[in-house]
Amino acid sequence: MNDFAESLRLAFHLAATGDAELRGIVWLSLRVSLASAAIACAVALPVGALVAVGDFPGRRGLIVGLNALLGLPSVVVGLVFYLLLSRAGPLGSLGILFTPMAIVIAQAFLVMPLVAALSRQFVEDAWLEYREQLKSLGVSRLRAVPTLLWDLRLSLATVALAGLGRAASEVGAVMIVGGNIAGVTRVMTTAIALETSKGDLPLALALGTILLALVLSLNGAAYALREWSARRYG
Amino acid sequence: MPTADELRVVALSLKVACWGVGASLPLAIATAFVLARKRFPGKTLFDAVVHLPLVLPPVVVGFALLVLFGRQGPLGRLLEPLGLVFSFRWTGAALAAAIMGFPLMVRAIRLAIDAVDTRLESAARTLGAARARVFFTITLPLAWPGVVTGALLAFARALGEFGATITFVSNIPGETQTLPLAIYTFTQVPGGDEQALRLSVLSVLLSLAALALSERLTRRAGGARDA
Amino acid sequence: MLELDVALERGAFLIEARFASGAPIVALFGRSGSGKTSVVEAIAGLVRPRRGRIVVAGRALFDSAAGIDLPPEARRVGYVFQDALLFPHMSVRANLAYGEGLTPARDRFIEARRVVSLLGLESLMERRPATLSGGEKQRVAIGRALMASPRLLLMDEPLASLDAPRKAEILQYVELLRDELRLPIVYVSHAIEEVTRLADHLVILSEGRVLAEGSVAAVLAREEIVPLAGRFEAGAVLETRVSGHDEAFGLTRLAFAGGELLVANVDALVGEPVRARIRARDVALALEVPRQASFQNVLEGVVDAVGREFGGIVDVDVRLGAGERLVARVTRASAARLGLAPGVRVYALVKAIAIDRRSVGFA
Repeated sequence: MNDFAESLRLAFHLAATGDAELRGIVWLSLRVSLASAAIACAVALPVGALVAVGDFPGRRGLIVGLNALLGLPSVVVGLVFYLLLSRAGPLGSLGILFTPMAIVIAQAFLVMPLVAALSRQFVEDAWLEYREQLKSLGVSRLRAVPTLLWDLRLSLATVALAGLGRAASEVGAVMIVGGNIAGVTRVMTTAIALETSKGDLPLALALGTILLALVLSLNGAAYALREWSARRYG
Repeated sequence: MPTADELRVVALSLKVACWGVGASLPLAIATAFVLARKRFPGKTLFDAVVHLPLVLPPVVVGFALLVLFGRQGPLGRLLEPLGLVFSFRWTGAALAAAIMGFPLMVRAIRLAIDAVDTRLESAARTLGAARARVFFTITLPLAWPGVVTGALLAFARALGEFGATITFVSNIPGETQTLPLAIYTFTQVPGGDEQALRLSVLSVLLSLAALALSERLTRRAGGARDA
Repeated sequence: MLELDVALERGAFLIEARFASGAPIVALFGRSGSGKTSVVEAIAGLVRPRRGRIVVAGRALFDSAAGIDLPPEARRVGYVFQDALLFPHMSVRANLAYGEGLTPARDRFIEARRVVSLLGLESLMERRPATLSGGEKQRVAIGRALMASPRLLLMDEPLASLDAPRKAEILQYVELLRDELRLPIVYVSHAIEEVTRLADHLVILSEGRVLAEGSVAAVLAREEIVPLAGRFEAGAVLETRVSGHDEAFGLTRLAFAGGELLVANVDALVGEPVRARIRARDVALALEVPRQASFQNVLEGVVDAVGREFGGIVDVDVRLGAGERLVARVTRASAARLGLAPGVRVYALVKAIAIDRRSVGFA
């Protein structure tokens, strides 16, 4: 217990003094998580909506496929991108492997099925409600998508927050395509995994606390958003 | 064709996942029952705590496990004389897998218990069955498809578990190097890409099989329920 | 012997019921929401009254003053629900055996074989509840409750989800239970025909309170009951005994103190007691015996009261020779034309076909 108390004190110290290594890791994490979440949302929010309102051949298959992707172990996704981006791979010439860019791409790909599934849920419920109205106004399915997305913007904001939380929590894929290189691709999650295996607790503890605080505030923000929109829009 | 080493990794992963899910299943059933049927102060908080592993980053969960169950940790020191050591052992990997999959199990089982008509339970009581008997002869059998689904979902999750495992019990070949950890390790080794790929295929196949089975059970239960 | 005196809350609704009876079938009658199901649930132990006392066969199941509250499994009270509630994952045989296995051998007084043959369940034993028809499910439900050898059987609207032919079939089984097994039954229903046919002791519930209780004839004749029984169903009940059959014309004569009723053929032996319900809308009144008319039944009596008026209609209470009551529904115009008022001598005219199989119950 003394060891732990000591580590706690050191962790506090690191955070309070704004230790350079700590700051670098946190800042990198925020950048890559925001970037990957943004890309994932840009692609998956409309895709989820399209699947919700659409009626095209293969829709069922697409839904099953998305659900399957959701259950895919993250290390496998990491491996796929690793093979694609490695020097021997098809996209190796881009030289992205072991750079933050690789992390962003892999994370975005991991977050997309989650965002698509959640956005599909929300849009589907809204579609059931407004379908008749929109049809009577002569709005085609395709045209309805942006309308619904805008109408649901608050709910979709919670989806984006969920995606961001997922991105910030990712470790397996990030380890593989990023390589956990100090100062370059070491993010909070990989640093924690590394530091604890080295037996070096204070940095891991400090990072862990920050990561925890981040994820909890994202969840808190999503909760507050839901409450606010429920009160406002009923 | 998988090599002996690869098969050992798969065997370890299966052992970890089976023990993790199996040992936590009774607790998951009890938790789901309490959440489905009982009202008590602090229920919302309890529900939130049960679902924490879904929300928290796996590395944070792994780190918490390390602090609590590590050799120096309060619970670790308590359990060591009982012969339960988690630190750097496959039991720790199983514990991590169990915790990460617990909310999935509870959610599926709770849904199934919610769907059991409480009036059937009342009918059983008027016939002379005490509460415990009602649970084991009426509630649980009727909720069983949900139990199996929950276990399969948690199993699939356990097979893919990485962050909590590597943070809690590290990456010890033969002891804690489950399938995902092995895949990662092979990418760090020159020329290990092919093996990593093979393991990935195995991992995906196992996960998909578990998920497909749970899908089929859910659909079948939906039809049989209208009795 | 059932004694009940409870106060219980259902949400914002307070139910205060009190009655006692040793009759073989006690019927609880009232509109939906009057509290009848809650009372029965309290007897079974599925809801807890705020205060009160429930005693069955001298054994206290609930007594708030003495701190007694037996759990349902200890009460030995059988319950037949409105929609059977058979266990879907068990066969009929397993459903039936469920309660039987939980009853200690010394408490078992109902034989399994008897129940199966009484209710005609032999051919259903290996079937699953999902494959049974409504009537079959209800019979199995009754059988299941019986096989636990209950000391009291509760039946909560057991016919509600059945169609007419099934209703008649199950009603017969209920009468069989009372006669063959001598099992006290509490029968809950909002259908007046069921209640008038079966009840020995009738308890009327309205808005959580007991409005009236007593024998069927006495209770149903009371004015306050009329709106509850439904405007359409206002009427009276005569306790009669079969005095003979007219084979040639397919008629049966039912004798009662104030005279004789001729009705369409009733399947009963001479001397059997029969309860005949006569709807008010089927009774016409005349100031003198009509000569060339088709009415088979002309009963002499005196107007007791000219009662409730609904629009152009009024119900007239008529007292027959030996004190029996009939209710006649006529237009206000006719009542005025004939000068109907208390004390006026009248003849109640009842068509024989108005009293059909459905209006007749066996006591």
